[in-house]
Amino acid sequence: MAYTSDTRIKNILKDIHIEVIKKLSKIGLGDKLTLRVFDESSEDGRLFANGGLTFKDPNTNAVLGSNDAGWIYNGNPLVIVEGTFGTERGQFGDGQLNRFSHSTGVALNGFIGVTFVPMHGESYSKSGTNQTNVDSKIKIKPAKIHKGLLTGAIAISEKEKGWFLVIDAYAPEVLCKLIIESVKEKEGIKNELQKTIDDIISVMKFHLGSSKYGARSIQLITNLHDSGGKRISSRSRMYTQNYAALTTSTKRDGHGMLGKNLVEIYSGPKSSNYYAIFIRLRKNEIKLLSQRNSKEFQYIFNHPKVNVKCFDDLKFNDPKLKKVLEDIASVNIFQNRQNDLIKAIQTAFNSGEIQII
Amino acid sequence: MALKKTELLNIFNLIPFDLLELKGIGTVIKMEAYSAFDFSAITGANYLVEPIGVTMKGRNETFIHRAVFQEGSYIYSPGLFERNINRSLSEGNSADKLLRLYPDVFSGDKYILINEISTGSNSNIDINVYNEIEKHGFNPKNFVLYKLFESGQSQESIYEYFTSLFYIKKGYIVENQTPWFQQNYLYKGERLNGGIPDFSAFKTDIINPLREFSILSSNEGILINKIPVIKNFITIKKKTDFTVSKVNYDLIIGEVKSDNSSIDQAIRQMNKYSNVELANKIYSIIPNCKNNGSENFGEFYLDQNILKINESKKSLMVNSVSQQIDRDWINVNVKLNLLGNANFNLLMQYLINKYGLTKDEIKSFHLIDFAMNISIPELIKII
Repeated sequence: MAYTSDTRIKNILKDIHIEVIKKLSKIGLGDKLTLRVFDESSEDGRLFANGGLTFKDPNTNAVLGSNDAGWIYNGNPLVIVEGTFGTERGQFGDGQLNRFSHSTGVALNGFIGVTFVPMHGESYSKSGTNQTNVDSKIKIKPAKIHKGLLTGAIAISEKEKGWFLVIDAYAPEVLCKLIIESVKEKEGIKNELQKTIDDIISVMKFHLGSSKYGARSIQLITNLHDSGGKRISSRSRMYTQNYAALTTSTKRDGHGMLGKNLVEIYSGPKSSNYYAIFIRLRKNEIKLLSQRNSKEFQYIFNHPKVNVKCFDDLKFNDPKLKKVLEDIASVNIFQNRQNDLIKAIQTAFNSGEIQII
Repeated sequence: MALKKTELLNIFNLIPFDLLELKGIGTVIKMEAYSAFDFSAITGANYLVEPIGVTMKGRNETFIHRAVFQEGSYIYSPGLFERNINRSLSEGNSADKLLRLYPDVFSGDKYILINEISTGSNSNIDINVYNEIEKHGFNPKNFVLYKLFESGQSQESIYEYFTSLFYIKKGYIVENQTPWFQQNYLYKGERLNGGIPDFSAFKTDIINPLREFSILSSNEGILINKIPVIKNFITIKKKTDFTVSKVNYDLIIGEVKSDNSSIDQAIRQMNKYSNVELANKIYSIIPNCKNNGSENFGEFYLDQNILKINESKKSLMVNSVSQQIDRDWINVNVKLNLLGNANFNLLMQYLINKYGLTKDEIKSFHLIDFAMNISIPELIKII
């Protein structure tokens, strides 16, 4: 068996629990809290009500991602944590969104969900940069927390009844304090829960900086029109995967797609509808996807805020653009990048040259 | 093949470990703290030193991939040592820290309690078992809880444990969280796909100084997870009568399945491992598979609850250049693990002096560079 983040995370969370109990015991609250944690992650996937660490989206009833450990007060979830060391193990980009749904599920149900991850990790990599005064076999690539993850987490915390907090895995004392203050708040004694949460969100905002979600994306659509020329969405996305890529690649791809959807649903303007436009899929393929027993696809197809569209739902003012897109239906665009074409399609969507029928 | 509690107890008894009958608790396996550490670190079994249960598994992570598969680059990950918020090096699971947090892990007799988990039941039973032990007048801190899933789930690690005992007796360093490569490796013009071995046992010339300083006994090996905390079990001292012996690089890897029905998958995996021409021997470790059908791979299996071994008919192709790169990487890995025994403040002082930096400027890569360039006798001075 390989080293996984899971065992390391669970060991750290147990160490935190022991510290929390010590501190709570000093103020007579040591018996108020339990930690639900499993040795093997296979049991994390049970619903919380069934003794597990997973939650359903109350809007869709779809099961979202599982968590690593949960602190429980009076039988109810208090602080539920999903941890990952992805940012120090080569996860530089959208892969980080794979886990976005995990804390989302907690927050949508009104509890405190925490994603525990190094905000600024360092991955050792053969394609990294050499460091001063050390052996040339040591090369490092920095990996910062995905801005989309922070954007979505802040949006969910602002709009929903629970909290989606991102805490630096290098600052376990912050998680420790959050749990202790949560217990005090439940006990109705003087506490700093709100201040602790505000401080955490303030750190999240600091790491987000002035970044605007999707500013550099060539797939995000900010101005989507229907065939009558009416603007129908200011936050939508075109997905460029073809059917083969969506059905034969690893499950993590679907995972990432779900994360991206969730980030964009919650971080977009509340008044805007969200369209997930699979520009290389046909109606029959969409139908087949909707019938797949995959958590990710089921979520996207059943979410009341997500409108799934495909190539057959599009009206092109420029028949040449339509033809070019049709011609790359079976091309592996991860190997043969089509960035110029995708950019042209994005421009055409935003300018109303491509519309939703 | 789902192992039953009675069979498992019988295997332990035949190794032999003592079985004890504790009133109200049932049959337990008695081990010294030194042996129990290996059991927990391999299987993930929880010491009940705290009601939540804590394991010694997964606490000594250093390298997650072998350098030979990464164009010689050292792919490190924190775990044994950690990072702080400034990304400076910080104490992780050092010998001193674990002794401070969990002193009972390192002394006295331990009792391995096997608890069967029926299919569909939750396995987070540690607190209940802790209370039950206390109720019957025993000290839970002396118990290690092993959860045996009736479905057969997660039983691979128990076979990794038995195979480890076999190779430790033969003088090898063993591990069941084997760094290998992720995704693929370009070798001889061909892109080879991955898969990660469940088990490995290895020897390099670093065995000599480890024996010289009593970290290894004169003929036994060690579980790599134990190296970072070895000073909590033994006194590290130089032997006066030590003679250096020739130790050639030797790498043995194992693919574990809990049942013969997964043999095809095991063979596919072992073929992948052999394609990179690094391991000297590869074995299937499957309790009910005496013959895996391959001439290239040997077998570990259970016969009348005793672990048996069959050698392969053919030798594997090995690449001596790859083995040399791997030997150097293994030696750095062992030295990093040994640094877990260092007093962390003293270690930091060494790093500060060597690199002429402040404490906050010392990063994990300084530690790796340090381990690459220090000899074992020099390293021992910090411990």
